[in-house]
Amino acid sequence: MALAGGDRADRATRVGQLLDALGRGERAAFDELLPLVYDELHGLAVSAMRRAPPGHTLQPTALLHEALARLVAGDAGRFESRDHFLAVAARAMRSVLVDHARARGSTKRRAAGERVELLDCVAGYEERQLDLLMLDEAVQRLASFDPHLERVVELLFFAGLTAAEAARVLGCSSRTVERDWRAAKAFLRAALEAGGPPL
Amino acid sequence: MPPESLDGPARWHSVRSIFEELLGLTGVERAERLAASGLDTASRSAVERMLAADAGEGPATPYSRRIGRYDVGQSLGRGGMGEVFLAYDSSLDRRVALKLLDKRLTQDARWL
Repeated sequence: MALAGGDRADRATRVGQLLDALGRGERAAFDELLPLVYDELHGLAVSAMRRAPPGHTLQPTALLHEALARLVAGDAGRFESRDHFLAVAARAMRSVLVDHARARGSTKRRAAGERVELLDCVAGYEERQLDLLMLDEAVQRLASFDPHLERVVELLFFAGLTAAEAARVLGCSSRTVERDWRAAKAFLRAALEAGGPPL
Repeated sequence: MPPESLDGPARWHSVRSIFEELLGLTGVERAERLAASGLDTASRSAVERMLAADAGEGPATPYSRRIGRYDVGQSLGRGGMGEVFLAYDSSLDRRVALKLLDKRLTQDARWL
């Protein structure tokens, strides 16, 4: 269904329908939701960054929750929708950050006094001094072995959820998430070393 | 089946399960178990690299001091009551904002 002229009420209804479909396990709903959530998150991150004082960091989880509130409008109270939404939002957040890192890489030199870059403002990325593009490649490699681990990484790393929150989104126990996360982290850390991906 | 014929997911599965088994063992036991695992050279090396990465686990940022379970890093801002720092919570394994109260507040008996 096309979204006519960015009408907020229509959009909220459509997002609600898509979240319901996602709840029924309809994979196509995920793909249709993704660009909507991406646009919202990107817009929020950029505007929050403009408002923020220098040195301030954005919390990815706060951005996700704000995006949910804006997209679903009055319908945000349904807890299940929130969990389904977070699964999509984590993927969108990853894309926002990776696209940004890629764009920044292609325009390395900045004029003095230019506004602060998005990545500099998102808590947990720049401070870890990670090469986000390399990390993204390693996540894709891990996903080719086990797609479930990709979702765990998105939820815990890119969306900043706790293991308990991620467990609810994924429908498994916190213990399982913690075990998956430990294995995924070991793989990704090794992949970022000079030797490249361990497998 | 020779290990070389394993596809990516199957290889990853065996590497991961040996990695997890070895996490609970000491150094010598690890070497023995790994040698007896039947994994090919590349997979054994992957297990070793993952174990090393797991052992080196911790904050990648230079945190300047440790307070309880928090590794405290750069200052994020200052308010009327104290200062907020970027910190790494080792028990939650995630980054947090930590507010430290001014000395004048913590040393004044009225606030304690």
